[in-house]
Amino acid sequence: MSLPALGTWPLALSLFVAMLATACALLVGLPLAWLLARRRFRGRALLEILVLLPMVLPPTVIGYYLLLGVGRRSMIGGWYESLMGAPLVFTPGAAVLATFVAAAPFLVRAAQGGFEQVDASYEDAARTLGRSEWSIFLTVTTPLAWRGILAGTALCFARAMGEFGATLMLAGNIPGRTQTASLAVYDAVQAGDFARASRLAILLSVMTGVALWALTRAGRAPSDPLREPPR
Amino acid sequence: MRPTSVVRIMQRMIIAGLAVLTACTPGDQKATTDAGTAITVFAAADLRFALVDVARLYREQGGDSLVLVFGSTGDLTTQIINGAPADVFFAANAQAIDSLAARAMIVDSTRRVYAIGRLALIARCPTVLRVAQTTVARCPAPSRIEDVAAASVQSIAIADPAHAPYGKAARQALERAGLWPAVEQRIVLGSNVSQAYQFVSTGNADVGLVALSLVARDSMLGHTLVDVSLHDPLRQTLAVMASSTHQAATAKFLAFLNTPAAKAAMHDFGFAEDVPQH
Repeated sequence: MSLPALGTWPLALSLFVAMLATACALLVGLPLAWLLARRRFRGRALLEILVLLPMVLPPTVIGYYLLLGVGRRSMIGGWYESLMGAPLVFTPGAAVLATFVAAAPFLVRAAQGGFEQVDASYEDAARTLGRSEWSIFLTVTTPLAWRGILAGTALCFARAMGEFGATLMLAGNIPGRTQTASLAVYDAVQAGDFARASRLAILLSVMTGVALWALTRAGRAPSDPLREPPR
Repeated sequence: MRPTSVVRIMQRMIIAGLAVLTACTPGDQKATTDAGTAITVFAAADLRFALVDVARLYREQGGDSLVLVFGSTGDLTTQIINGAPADVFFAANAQAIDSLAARAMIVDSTRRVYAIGRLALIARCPTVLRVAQTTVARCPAPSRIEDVAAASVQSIAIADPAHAPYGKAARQALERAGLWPAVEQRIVLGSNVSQAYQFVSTGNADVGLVALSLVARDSMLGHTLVDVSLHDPLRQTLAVMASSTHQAATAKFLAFLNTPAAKAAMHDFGFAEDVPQH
């Protein structure tokens, strides 16, 4: 039996998409979480709601907005197509984008909580030593907030592995191209192929479960003198 | 100290992920090489079993591999209009191809009616029969369309008439038989006809009005054909997409559909062998 028939391809694609989306979420989400936790500015409440909205919106609404935003007839979609020679929709890239939008809020939410837990006096102390804000963010705040960040990363990754609705709408369900494991399960059930559906569902459950277990275990790691920062 | 531990955990995650990806690479490579020469076929959900069989036959004869994407004709049309990379589209009606033709998205000369769809009535198997799979007799289907309005029937599965041709035909049949007002509250909509079929085959809906091609080779479910006068003809039409970069390979596959082997396979799934083009 060839490997794709075993369902390896959709699982590999799911892993690939979830890891890329989580990496993007870390890049964009950490500074955003820090901004929301540490700075007071005009429109902060609005930004916070916008960032968290995908958590509670139906994935179909996310998918619909994304189709409007980056579809072929949108401005961004048009630019992308003229630049790359092919539309973004119905590509693995579209799957990453949809997954990123659906999963990143989980990281921002948890990381923001992590940043809020960090005692600002450590940052102030670093400031008196003449460190730049960027350097303080990287070497003081982020390391102290790592528990929240780790929890957020785990949630984001798990949500990314399970993304379905937005991906279906923006990337379609094309075997070998955009059919992730969750889409493959849906497809197998529709086809009445319950053997394949079970195989994929079990593999997906085990993989996501192991990822969560590894991350919670890492989060509980001892040898952490500053675990409870003074309030 | 702490940044290192975070970085280290991240590194481990990434390495573990990459390791898994690498482990899967043989599968990936196969899929990628296939994708290089594969023809992407967007097909109406009623072809879910028939086209898989035809694709296997084509492969056995040394033909290219086919990536089959199934869905309701309406869903697939929307996806194609929005840039989905289909080489050829097997719709379950003619209107979908019309709307693509109006947008100059098809190669007009490739357009043809490849099958006339038939609607079939099915009923779920009683649990006893489903357990005893060795049973010789198949689960009987209601013998007349009027039977779906019986008080004992709690749910009637059809595809969504809004975008699935077989759903539209099912609704027309129920309307023309004068049953729609009586059954409307008991209708369960599948997002396409193969989902409607799956609702019945898993025993979750009592009866269904689905494509004959989905049930023709079902060894468990019996079926009753719905009279063609009860719905507009399902002139299942195909066309090659103008944007396809595999025009020659796609033409070769479409030529294969006219061979006796492919025709016999389609016939097996309940499609008539001679398809009137007009």
